[in-house]
Amino acid sequence: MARLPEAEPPLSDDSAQISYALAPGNRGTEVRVILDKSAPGGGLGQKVAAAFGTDPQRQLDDALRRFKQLLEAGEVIRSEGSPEGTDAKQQRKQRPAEPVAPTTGD
Amino acid sequence: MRATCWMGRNTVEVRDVPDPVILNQRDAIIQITSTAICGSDLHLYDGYIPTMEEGDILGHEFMGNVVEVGPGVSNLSVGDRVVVPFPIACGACNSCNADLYSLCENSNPNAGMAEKLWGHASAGMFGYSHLTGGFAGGQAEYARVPFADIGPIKIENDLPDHTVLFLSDIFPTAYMGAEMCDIKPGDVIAVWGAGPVGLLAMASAYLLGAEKVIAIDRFDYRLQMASEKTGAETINYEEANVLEVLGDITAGRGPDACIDAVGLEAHSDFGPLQLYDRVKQAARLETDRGPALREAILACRNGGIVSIIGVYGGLMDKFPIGSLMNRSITVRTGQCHVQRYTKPLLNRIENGEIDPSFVITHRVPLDQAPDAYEVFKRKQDDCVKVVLSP
Repeated sequence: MARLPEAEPPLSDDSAQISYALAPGNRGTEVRVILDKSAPGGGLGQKVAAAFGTDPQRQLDDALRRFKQLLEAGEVIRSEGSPEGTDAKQQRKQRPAEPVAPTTGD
Repeated sequence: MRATCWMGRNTVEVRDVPDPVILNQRDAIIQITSTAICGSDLHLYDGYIPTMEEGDILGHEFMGNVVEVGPGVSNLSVGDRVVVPFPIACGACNSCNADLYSLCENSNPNAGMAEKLWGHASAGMFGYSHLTGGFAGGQAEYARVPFADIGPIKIENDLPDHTVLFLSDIFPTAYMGAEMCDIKPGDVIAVWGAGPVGLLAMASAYLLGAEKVIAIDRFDYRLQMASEKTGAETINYEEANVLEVLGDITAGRGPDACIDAVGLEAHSDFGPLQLYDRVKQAARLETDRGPALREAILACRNGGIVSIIGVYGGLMDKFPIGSLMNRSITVRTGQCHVQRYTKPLLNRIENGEIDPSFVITHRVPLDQAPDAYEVFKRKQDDCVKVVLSP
């Protein structure tokens, strides 16, 4: 499997190297992703992106969390403060923890 | 529905908010019959825990009846009476498999936020800031409970709410605090803080076989409850030198284990140290005041255990690391892994070994929550524990 589900934008072999290995001590699978260093805008671009919550590293962290949630818990966990689930942009600007209408169509 | 909302430092309001809806397949919606204000809610009320948002629904101790279940929940049905543990846990990750539910790796959507402050993230928790997920709490008429197939424990007896409600947090928290002391015959256990968790930790220490339990506080009405309801000996730290008295009781050894049931807003009768901590906290140079924990470490016997169940949020100054290191003291701590304890502790309640409701001093309707927070915070009217009825 070379594609990481739940990544936004989707990661593929073009932008990242993804590898899977058995974790020591029978603790499941380790997923490692190495991002392509030549991201748009170079160093400065990445700092600006980080300030707006679009830092590739943070997006990747969140994608890995969503992937793990999907595999282990069956779905991406949503809270009232983060109704769309783990997402760096949402973590910068939380809505109050009070009930929300469902965000996807059921 | 009506819900108790955090509206800024020292301000809560009971407001009309939308009813919760199912957001995840494994959610359930609970109609709340009883909910409590926790000492740790005061840390939010007083503004010491970062990442609160105006409008956040508070409350992580609640129980009630299931009114709706998501398609992923097969063990609960509408009408079931349940108590809900405060940590939200998926039941499937490595931490959950190791019974470390408050460290669930999948239940905190804001894990990235928590990692910045703590290095790694804890589980999601109800009504306890956005660092622990931004989940709406249970001081309300209804609550959405994620992973409802893992957390809630069904109550199939006719015990009243107040007898089982504290399975949600304070009884398991207190019991884990005592369990972490590895109590052996003859052990003397000292407990800092005679609030609800401290009192239940004293009772739990006796349940687990302690020879003697010592309660340390400055409020006589709380020490009196410790003495009358748990059998603990008491020390009022405003009237006596705690280290001296503990030395006298243990012939100089110190308690075998010390439980910190105070946490980050500890108070000291030693003016300069209290002032130092208050000033640094006010300037946001230190988040956690430490006199209780510092004293617990200094008091503990060589090779003993310090069990920390009082809540801390960030950083503390003047931590007596030299005492800890040179005297081979073991520190054990953690947010309670409540799901590990709900069944065994329900059994203890059903067997009549303990009724945790002895800590309750105030029962009021939900709408009086703002007043109740003030009374609890100011320790007015001999307040120990408040239960709210929606």
